[in-house]
Amino acid sequence: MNKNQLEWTVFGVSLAIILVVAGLLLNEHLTTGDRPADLTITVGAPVHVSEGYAVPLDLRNSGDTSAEDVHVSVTLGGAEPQESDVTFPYVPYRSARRGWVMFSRPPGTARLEARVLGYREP
Amino acid sequence: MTRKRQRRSPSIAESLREYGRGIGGGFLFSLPLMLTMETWSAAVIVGPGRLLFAVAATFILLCGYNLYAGLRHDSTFGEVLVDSVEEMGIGIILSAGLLYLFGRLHPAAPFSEHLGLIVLEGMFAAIGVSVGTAQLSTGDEKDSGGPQGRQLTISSEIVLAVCGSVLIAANVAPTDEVLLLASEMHLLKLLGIMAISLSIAALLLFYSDFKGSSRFAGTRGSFAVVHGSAITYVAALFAAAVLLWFFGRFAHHGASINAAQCVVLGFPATLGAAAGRLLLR
Repeated sequence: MNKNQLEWTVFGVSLAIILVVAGLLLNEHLTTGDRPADLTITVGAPVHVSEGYAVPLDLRNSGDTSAEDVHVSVTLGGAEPQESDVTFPYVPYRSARRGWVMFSRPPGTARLEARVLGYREP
Repeated sequence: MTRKRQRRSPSIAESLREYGRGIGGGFLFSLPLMLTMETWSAAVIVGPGRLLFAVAATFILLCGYNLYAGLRHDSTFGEVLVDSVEEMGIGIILSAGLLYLFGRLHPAAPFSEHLGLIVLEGMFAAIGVSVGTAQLSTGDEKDSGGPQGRQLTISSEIVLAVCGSVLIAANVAPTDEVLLLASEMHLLKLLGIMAISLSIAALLLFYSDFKGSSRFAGTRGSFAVVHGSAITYVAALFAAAVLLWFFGRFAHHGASINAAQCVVLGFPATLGAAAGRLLLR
């Protein structure tokens, strides 16, 4: 085989990449089960923005199945409860997505309750 | 990337030219797919098992393509393997670089998501690299070869038809339009699409036969065209079905909708298959 050093280098690097990729995929294939989507929400610290208060939500899917159109509602407790919601178009398995909900008054120390209303299987 | 006929190693400049062509082809054929939103989510839906299948299937396609339509027609099997490994590696690197620049590799997303995206796009980029290396060459670098070197066999025809189908149909396969058309089109219109697909296959085959008819000793005439178009269309439908299955487009649908999806995607796939077969001529 007439190949110069550059070509052998490219071949070597390519072979290494393919083996690593195949190994990682195989490992994932063997460790991935078929548990349904398992969604948990972490509410972050509110940020004051021009239109009110934005609260970050980290939605994590620790299941083995992806979830589509995840509808999350967040209720701000207190004397006048306020409700906001956000939809995540797509939360892959073992992945996280970030979204924001808006409130017109400062959440302050009031209780923020976030829950998943529903989602679809892709 | 192989030079059995030149009994010397290529210069670095020659190799760089070939890689340049490959990278050009990789961009040319994988950008439409990389700029499609459905592909990004598909990369995660398909899961590691099907991605592994994709790596294996792409490697087989690359070997087949390099064997039957590669830059040089007298490559040994070892050279074909080495070339295919290089093309797949370059494809993966191209895909990783572009996805990073496009901002598709969210830092917050887990590694499995990055891996899925890079592998999925990388496989189609690899086929583009392969086609680019062989087809974007200037005349003097390509084997003057033509007819005398390559054997036209049924397996080479099928491999090239499938390669061409995948290259063209993959850009459409993950989109929602295929399902939409398949579910809304009337049966007669689907039959019309089948008729057009077969006619295009026959038309392209007829003209390519016409051009290189001397190479079809014994199989000339109308039977060869019918036979050839049938092979092209079957290869295209097969490639369409595999792509739809791979992108998870069959799940939860009835058999008739899925058959209709194959026919709809089979149309662009037939164009690709016919074009792929023409590369030999």
